[in-house]
Amino acid sequence: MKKEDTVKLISAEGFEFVIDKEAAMVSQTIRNMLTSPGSFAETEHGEVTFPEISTTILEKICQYFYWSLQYARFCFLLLIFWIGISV
Amino acid sequence: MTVLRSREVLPTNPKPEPVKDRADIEPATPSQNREAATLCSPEPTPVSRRSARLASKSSVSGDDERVSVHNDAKRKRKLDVSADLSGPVVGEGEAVLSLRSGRKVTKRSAGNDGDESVESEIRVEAKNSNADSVANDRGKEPVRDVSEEGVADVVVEISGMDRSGDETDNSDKRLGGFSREEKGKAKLVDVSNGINFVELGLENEVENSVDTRVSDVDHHEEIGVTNANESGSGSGNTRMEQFRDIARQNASRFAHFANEREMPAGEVPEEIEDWPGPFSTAMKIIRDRGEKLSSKRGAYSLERGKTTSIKWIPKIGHGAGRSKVSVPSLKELSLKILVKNADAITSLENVPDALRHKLSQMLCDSRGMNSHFLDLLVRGSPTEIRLRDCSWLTEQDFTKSFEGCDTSNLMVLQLDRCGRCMPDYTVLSTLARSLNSLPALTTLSLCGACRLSDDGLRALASSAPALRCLNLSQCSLLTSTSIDILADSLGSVIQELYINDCQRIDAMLILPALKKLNHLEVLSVAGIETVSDDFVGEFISAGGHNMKELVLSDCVKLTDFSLKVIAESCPGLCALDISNLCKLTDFAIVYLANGCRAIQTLKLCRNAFSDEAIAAFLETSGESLKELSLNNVKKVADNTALSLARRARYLINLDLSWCRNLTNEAVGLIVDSCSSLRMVKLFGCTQITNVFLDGHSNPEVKIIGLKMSPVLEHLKVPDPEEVPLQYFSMLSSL
Repeated sequence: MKKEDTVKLISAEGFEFVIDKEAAMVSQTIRNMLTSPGSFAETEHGEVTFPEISTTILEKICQYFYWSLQYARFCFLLLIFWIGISV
Repeated sequence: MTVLRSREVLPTNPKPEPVKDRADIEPATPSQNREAATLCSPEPTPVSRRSARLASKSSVSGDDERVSVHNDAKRKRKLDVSADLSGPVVGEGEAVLSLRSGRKVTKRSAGNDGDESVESEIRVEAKNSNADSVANDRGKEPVRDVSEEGVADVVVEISGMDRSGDETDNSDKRLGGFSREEKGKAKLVDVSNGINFVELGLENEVENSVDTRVSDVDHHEEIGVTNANESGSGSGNTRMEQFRDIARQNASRFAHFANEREMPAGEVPEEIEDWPGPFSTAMKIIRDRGEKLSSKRGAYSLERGKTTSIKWIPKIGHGAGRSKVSVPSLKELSLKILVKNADAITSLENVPDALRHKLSQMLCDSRGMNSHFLDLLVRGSPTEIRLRDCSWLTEQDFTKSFEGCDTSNLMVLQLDRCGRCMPDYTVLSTLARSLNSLPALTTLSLCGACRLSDDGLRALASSAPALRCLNLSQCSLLTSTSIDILADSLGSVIQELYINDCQRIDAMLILPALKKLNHLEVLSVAGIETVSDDFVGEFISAGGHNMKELVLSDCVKLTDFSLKVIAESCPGLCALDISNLCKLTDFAIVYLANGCRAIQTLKLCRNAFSDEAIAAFLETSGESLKELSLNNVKKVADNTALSLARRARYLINLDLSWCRNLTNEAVGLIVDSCSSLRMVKLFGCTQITNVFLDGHSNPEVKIIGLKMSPVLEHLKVPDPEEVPLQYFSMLSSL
């Protein structure tokens, strides 16, 4: 993956998740942060920090992004997204 | 044409004169009509008239001249005739037909004015004439003759002519025209109505009554009778009638509304002061639209005309490209998992109220709600507790859960369908355990608390001094004194009151108490049968200026008068629900359009409003509408669709269930043009096919009700968080 296509999401504990930009754009918040005309630090570095989101949650969120892209693309496939209770 | 009819009707008096009449009648044009009216000089003497009337055709020919001459008199005479006809006086020979036909004659003549100019002429003349004398003259032929200076005669004659025209070949057209005109018109059954109209000197009324009586047989009879009775109204009548018919056809809708207003019981004032209002402007737009269409139609059948009126081309192939599958959000997925495993939830601490409500709502709907979750909700010092369905809750569980509940911060409490668990003593031991035990409570909903009586309510009212929004729907034990209790303790704070279906509450008895609630903004009295026009009139005139929402569905006694009062006194009305009020006529819509310009939510259901009325209302107030329900308003058709497409820019929810006159094109146009539209209900509209479903190009709208997929899913998704206490959110944000 080229650097330009990716975005880094940083959890509360400091874990960094590098995912495709397209996947990150599923979230309106992240999309606004990255595409807004104003100069967010995030736009420059391509990094978004979430100090209140724990690592396990952020991991699940990234998985959800990819699942959502798959779902939209192949709507006839009933993909099941499993959220473990422990999360 | 006239000749034929007259012949049929008056077999005893065949005369060459009718032929002459025919000749006169044939070149029937409005101008001619007027000419005839103006040219003729009022020669005939009363005696001659009378004789003519009594006589057969011969007299008819005589009447010709008279008719044309006595334009003024005509009207009165017509009235008289009708009066006579309605009465036992049948002397004209066509006794058998006279009564019925006489009435019809009158009415038809009234309604047959195809020429507006003629109408106005007649109207003017009629007004000039002595309506009183006309009325008095009923039953007196000679008097009739003498006093007739109105256009009534002309009218009658014209109507006679019209009839003849209808009866003959042209009848199809005329009848077709009438039927179009008559669509949605109230049916006048009594001659007395016509007579009343006559007395008022308003031609419109007569027209209306006439219109409703169109029928072939009647035409024949009427014409015959007219000829016979009006002795001489024959040829002149037929000519006039033809012209009148044409005029009437074009002006029928205009006249229609005036008539309809007149028609209902005396509560509705019978003036036409509404005319120079926004509604009439809108009506003109609609009529012009309709006339343009009808002129375009020409030879086309009605159905083709309909489709050409709405130009909407479904986008074929577009639907395939547009993915209708919306990806479920992570929040939805998470909530679903949580609901499935609600028992495993150990704490709802720090969970925002919105999520709590969503969880409890989903749990209640899936019947998974139990005391464990209730305890979770109640734990801590909750600010909002919402339970849509407490039917599973027993008294003991309720007492246990709420006894230990810290209610000092509770602002919103919703315990719907709590009848089982909420007798008075439970309330006293839990919620109302002490004075001021609910100090912060602003919103309380106890729908279906069927064991709650006035005493329990008193206790609650005294414990919740800040209560602003109170929902006591379906609390069947409450009586009228409960409203007195509310007025005494919460009179100055309460802003929303819902007492739907509380049958023991008598509307008139609670009037004084309601008037004491000076900040009341929302009142819902749906289903209370004692709600009448008097109640609405008094209550609205006392405190109507504050009202933002009124729910009057199922209060079947209400008539247009209530709507008139509401429209006049509630300028800030935002939401109105008048479902199932079958006595309302188009005048209700007229009043609404002229009075409540800022209305945002309008719920109509099974009302008998016409397509044009709704369309005109949308033209005037459609911009502010956010939610509209036209459920079972059967006459809704293309006019409404066009107005919706043009005006309803901010419309979010639309209910067009059971509107079977809407075509694919109409609904497609609406959906494509209303860009804010998010939900369209089309239950019972089996005439809508995939042409629309696949062809509309609005990506965000949800169509509900066509394919019988699980309805609840659809209903949940587009509906905003169900807040029974709507304005509270508005208030809290202030």
